[in-house]
Amino acid sequence: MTTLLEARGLSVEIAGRRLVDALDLRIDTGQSWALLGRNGVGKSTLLHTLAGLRPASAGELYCTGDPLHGLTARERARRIAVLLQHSNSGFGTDVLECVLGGRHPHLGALAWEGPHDVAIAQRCLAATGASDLAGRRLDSLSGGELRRVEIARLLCQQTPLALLDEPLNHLDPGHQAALLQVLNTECVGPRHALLMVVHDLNVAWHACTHWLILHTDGRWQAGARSELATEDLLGTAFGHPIERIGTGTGPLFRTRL
Amino acid sequence: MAGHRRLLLAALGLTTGSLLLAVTVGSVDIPAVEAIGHLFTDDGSVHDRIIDELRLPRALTAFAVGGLLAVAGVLMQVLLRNPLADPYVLGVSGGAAGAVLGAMLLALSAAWLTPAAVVGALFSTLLVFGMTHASDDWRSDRLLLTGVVVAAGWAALISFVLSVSPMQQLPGMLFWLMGDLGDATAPGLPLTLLVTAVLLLSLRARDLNVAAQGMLQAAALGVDTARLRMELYFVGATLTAAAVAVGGAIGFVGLIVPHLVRRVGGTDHRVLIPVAALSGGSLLLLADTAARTLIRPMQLPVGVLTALIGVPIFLYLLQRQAAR
Repeated sequence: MTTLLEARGLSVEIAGRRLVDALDLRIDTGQSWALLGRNGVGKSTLLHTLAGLRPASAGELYCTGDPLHGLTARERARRIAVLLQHSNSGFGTDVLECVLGGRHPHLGALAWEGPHDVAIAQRCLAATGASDLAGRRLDSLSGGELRRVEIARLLCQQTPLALLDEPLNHLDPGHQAALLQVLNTECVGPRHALLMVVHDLNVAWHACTHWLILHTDGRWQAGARSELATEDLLGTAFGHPIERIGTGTGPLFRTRL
Repeated sequence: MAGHRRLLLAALGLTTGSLLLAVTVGSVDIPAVEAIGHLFTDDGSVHDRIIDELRLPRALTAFAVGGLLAVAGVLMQVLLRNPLADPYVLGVSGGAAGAVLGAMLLALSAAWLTPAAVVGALFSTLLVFGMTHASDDWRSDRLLLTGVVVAAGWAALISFVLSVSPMQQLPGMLFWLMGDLGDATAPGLPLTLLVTAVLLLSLRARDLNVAAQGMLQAAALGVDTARLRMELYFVGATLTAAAVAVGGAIGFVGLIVPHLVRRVGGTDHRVLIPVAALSGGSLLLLADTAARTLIRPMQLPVGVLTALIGVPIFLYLLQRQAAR
């Protein structure tokens, strides 16, 4: 087991407001983390910080033992892949070209993608059920199709750690289930781990081994899902009563309406 | 890959064709075969001198200026992730134009015009970039708006300079403002700059590909985006400054050419940049050839023609895009 990402006393601030206070977090291989919390609590900002895309206001981050901010952007992108919350269709790029973007950190400045890279891209498109989209232009795709293409690009990056911001956005139930399956086989394992922002507690329970809950005052809780999935804790975190039905390994969470 | 090669070959064909047209037509028409002969041999005849001393230098200058504007447009559009961005919209050309007119008003010699343009363009760049950078989050719509406002400021300043300028200087200034290649006979500097820029940018081409997907996404894919942004802005400003110093304020090439090349499948910057350089050069060369032959012996400022050609094409593209 390797620690892929470690945060020590990590604080995140935006415009003077402290979103996360002194976070200690260790993401080890084989783990899958759900990042939970209310709207606007700072989930995306924390995810960007963990990915090294924005500076932390205090604390340290280590990526596979090395200080994250000591890595070059290229080296960082070979260790951590990020799926952003908002999709982006670019300038009429086609789908295969977009997915090949995942090979970018692996290639030298003047190198062209070879048959090897194209094969990886096609395999990733197949994994997300997007093979038939390969020749389409990005700006002609539906929201859900674009999401699957972006996840294919993330897989194509072949990093040990994947950080995903609401990966299930725009996906229908069938594609949601298929995609969670793919993420679990491709991004969680003896050399891989993932962290994803999700809003559906049932998805968070079934797809993830660990939870990180952010509260509105900068407090946080991190640990195995079974320790955190209590009605009391979830009620506090979301400011709304949430029922946990059933116990053991297969509980269901229901928002009281 | 095959599509890329075809696109590059088509652009090379367009370049050859427009160069050939530019050296053959004019106040005297010289047959193409004879013209090609004059390019490679020197017989001192009138036709030979027309080609070697007048038409070829002007054609190469027009080509270089068009190429510079098109490549600058590509860079600005990636920087702002907005296909409507170009050096004019961002106030870069306005800065260069304002500085050059100021230099003309002060009756500085022609040698000062290029440095003035560079200083004006970089100053405008720093102004726009600095004001946008002051805020914590760096947003492209803010940059675009700041650029538009700064451009309006330059336009006002230019109007001021024009209104206080002596009468006899006005025609020259106005022609220059409209974009004029009538005095453009020194292709060396702009052409060298264009070739250098295209070669250097090939090192950044794949970075630009991912940057077209958004700067945050590019950062996630391993691009040092802070550096790339600076490079894009300053290279874009330098290319624009050179183009403006040589050809005046020629619009629409930087906007239309990258757009057209992307439409026909050149979204990969490894192809887009050289093809935009070649076809931007060809477009301006064709426009300039038309400008000096349409109502000969009078010459039109080439900027009038690029706008006349550019506006309907751009509107058509926008319509088609909206219809999709």
